[in-house]
Amino acid sequence: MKHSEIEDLLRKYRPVGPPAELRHRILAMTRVLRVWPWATAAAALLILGITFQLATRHEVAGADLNLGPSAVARVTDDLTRMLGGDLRARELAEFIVVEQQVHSETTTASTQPLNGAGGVQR
Amino acid sequence: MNDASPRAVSASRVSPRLRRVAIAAFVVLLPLAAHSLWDYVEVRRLVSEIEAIRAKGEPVSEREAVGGNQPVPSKEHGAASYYLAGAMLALGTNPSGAITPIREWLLAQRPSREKLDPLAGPLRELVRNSNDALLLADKAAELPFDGFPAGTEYSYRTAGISELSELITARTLTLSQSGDADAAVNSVISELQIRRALRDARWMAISGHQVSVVLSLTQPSRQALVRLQAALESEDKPERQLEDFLRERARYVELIWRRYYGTDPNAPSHYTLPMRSVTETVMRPWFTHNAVNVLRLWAQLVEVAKTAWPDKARRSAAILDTNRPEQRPSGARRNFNPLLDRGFPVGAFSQAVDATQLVVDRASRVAVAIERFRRDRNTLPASLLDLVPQYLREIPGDPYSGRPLLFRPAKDGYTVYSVGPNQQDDQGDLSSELQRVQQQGWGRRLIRGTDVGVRVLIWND
Repeated sequence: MKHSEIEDLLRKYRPVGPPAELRHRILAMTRVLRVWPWATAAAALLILGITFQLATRHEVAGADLNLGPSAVARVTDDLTRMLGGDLRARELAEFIVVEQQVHSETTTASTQPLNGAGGVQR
Repeated sequence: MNDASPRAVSASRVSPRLRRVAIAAFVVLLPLAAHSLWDYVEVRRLVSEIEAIRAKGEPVSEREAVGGNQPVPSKEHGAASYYLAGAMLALGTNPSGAITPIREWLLAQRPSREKLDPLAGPLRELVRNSNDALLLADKAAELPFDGFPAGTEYSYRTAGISELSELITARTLTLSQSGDADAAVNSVISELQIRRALRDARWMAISGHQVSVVLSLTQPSRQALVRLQAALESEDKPERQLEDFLRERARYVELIWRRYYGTDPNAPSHYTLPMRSVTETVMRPWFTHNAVNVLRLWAQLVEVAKTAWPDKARRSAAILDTNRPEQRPSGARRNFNPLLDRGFPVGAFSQAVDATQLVVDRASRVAVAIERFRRDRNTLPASLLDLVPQYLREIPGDPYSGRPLLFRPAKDGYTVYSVGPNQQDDQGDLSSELQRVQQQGWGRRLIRGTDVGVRVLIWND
């Protein structure tokens, strides 16, 4: 075998450098792994969520429905006064009112289907 | 490799854990932010709807509906305390079971007195056992009524007041059957008085009275007839139906608002939570969306309820037909939350546009005038014009036709009637009333058969 033939064979198996596009492929992968877009989006969502929550509260507070204390509050106050007016009386009054309401709701649900504004009709 | 840029090196240093946290935060915050946005949009819609109601000068809360302030009962609550005590005693007596056969008897083609006696037996027993409740109702009837005190609505009030009203009806029937004429008239006046309590207790049913039975079975004194006619005339307030309807919507708005957006610092802690559960918090925008749709339907119904008779009868019939409970619009499904269902305003609307009670009151008033005429001249008037002006200031109008009420004498009595919701003169045929007596629930208001009115029987024996 001639020297030139050996050279040709060696040239055939000589290591060569990476292809040019490999660098672009690697850089493209590292772009996907960036954290800042996700963090920015999450922060933006957080700010948006808080903003809309505050806006909702503002709307609710701005709508003055002139409601006054509810019947529940009034009857609780009445009961508290009747039971002595102290903290213990308040706790007892609240217990009675809540218990009554739960009883009323369960009874209504089981016996009277809501049928029109008046509930039941004859 | 020697030519790798610094940028690529820094990118490879990003902590995968930090990146996962950022992605997780994004994934969690995306629906939360979307929910907040949706919640805001829906509350804006609700507030706009409430402002639109306000702009028309209509109430959006119970306090506004009753003229600026919650009813403040007098120290002893006037009639309310007596009604409440009577309601407690009346609760569970279930008088309608004993009353219905007698109503059916009265509406039969040819009622005979022999058939009435066995029907009255259970009624007498019921009235005897309910004497205390009836005494309380009579005492209340003499007193001013300025609303029920807060809190009593939670338990027995509505059902108890209704049963108390029916007990009075039962007593009227019993007194009529035994011929105690003036006592029966007083009982009818008590029946008319308890309507104040029924209205306040949101009883949406037709509160019938038994004037036709009293006039058919007894001969009250002239003074009693005059008192009865005056009591019936004072009930002739058709504007009440619209007032009640607007008040009902105001209660609805208040209920929705308190439930989904309100807090009440003085209420028990259970109620101070703006929402009752996590589910309701999550579902609030959806609930609000539906509530706004219900309020928009309510606005349409209010417009129809404001129209004048008889146009109101025609327009409301079309609405009630398309919203029958058993024939809902195609694709519409019953909402699992009754507050958000179309049936809620439509049920109240059916009350607001039902002129049955108004017609029966007016026809009864005319019947009382006819009895006074008959007592004086021993004959029936040839027409209702004969009653004016000595016995009746003017002939009451028929809301369903826009013309005066009709009168049809017969051998065994007479009928004063309106053409009814079908707006046709069926010659005084009140058979639809029999269907209404037998039909329960607001389906009775969908019965549009024959005429509406009262029939008074004259016994020739």
